[in-house]
Amino acid sequence: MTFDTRARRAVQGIHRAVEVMEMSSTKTPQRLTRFDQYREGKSRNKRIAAFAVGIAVPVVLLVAAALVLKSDRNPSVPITTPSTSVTPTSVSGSTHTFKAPFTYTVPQSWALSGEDARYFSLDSTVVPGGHLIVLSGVRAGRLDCTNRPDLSVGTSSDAITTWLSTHPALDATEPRPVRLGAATGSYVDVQLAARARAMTCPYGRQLVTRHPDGPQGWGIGPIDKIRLYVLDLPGGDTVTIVVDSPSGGSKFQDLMDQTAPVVESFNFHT
Amino acid sequence: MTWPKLERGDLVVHGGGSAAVGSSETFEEFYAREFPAVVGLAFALSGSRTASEDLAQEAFLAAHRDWDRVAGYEQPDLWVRRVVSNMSMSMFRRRYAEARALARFAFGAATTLPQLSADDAEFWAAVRSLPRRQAQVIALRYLEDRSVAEIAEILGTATGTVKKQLHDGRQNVVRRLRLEEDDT
Repeated sequence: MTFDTRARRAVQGIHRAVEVMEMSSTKTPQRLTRFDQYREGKSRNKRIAAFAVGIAVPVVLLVAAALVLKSDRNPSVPITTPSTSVTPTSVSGSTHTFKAPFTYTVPQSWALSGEDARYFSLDSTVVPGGHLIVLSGVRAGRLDCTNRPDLSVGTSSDAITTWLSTHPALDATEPRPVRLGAATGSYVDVQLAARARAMTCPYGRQLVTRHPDGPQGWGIGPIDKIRLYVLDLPGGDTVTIVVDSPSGGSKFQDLMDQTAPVVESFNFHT
Repeated sequence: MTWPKLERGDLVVHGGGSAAVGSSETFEEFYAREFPAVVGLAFALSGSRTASEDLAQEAFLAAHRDWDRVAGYEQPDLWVRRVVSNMSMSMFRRRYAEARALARFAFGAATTLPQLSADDAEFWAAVRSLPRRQAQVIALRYLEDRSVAEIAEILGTATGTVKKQLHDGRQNVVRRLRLEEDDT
């Protein structure tokens, strides 16, 4: 059984349970009464808490002051020497199961967050929205909600990035060349053209996709701005690196500035 | 994201009772319309038949307390879902709600949510075992049929993050329940 089938059944289970609850419930006015009672109780609790804090804070301050004075009088406290060791600012890694193997060097704030044969991702803990998604073997999507590939578009980097940069539903930059180890291709920045934003899809309109109905593609929503690196590998396969925008594209350039060095560290094997 | 604040004096419709600012919908109407779905969301994310109704009530209580402002939001239904999805994933809150539910049992009132089938319970248990954000994204996407953009707004995160968590959450559930890949 697939995820979608199992999820649909489980969702029905919750919906049925809530329907049963609704049918057997006659308590709506009581709930609102409870709200008011509960609110009164919470308000009383807040007053009590404020009173307790009012007493506790001066006591804690007095105790802290006494401890500080005591420690100042003690000359035997050892003075610690700052560590001379240098904290590494970047870490290197490599893929394990991803079918287009590569090595990378990233700042310490980036970490591996997912990997399987066709999907690899790195997350940043300090860059808002900082995710790098690497997908293998994707094709151009139909730019609709179906997750199906547009079979009229070729599978090479050149074919996909040219299609992206000229599609009437997209505002995209011209493809710019890039080489990451043995992988060569180009990248484009894309967003939906204003006239194409009315049609929305749950996952966004699919830019690139691998599996019909599967999660291995990447969609674009009305407010998104995305950079796609599409690269040809020596074996004939294609790999796509996705950098999705935070906050609806408003900080797109900041994110690109932060992620470009990470992407440029990718070294695909021959 | 931050929820937009409506300045007092803007779009104010002074109605009686708890009528909304900038909207003719009263809190009671909003509550009646949204409560069942919010209970469902709390049920999926907390896994507790006894606590989910209380969690939903707490979320609506928060809305009721600040209704003039919440009703001014473009979509107050998203706001209440954000509150309940955060509360449902918090152990402290869950215990607190469980305790209240226990007291309700002790005084003789019965919960009205029935038990899920073993298969459905297993699925939602697998979802709850995911990292917090992945679980919230899965529940909002499938249970509520929310779009990526709406989920991003509810959870106050970037759409790219939602897409990634949706992908990771699905893959994790597929592995945990040994489901087939959605692959052809």
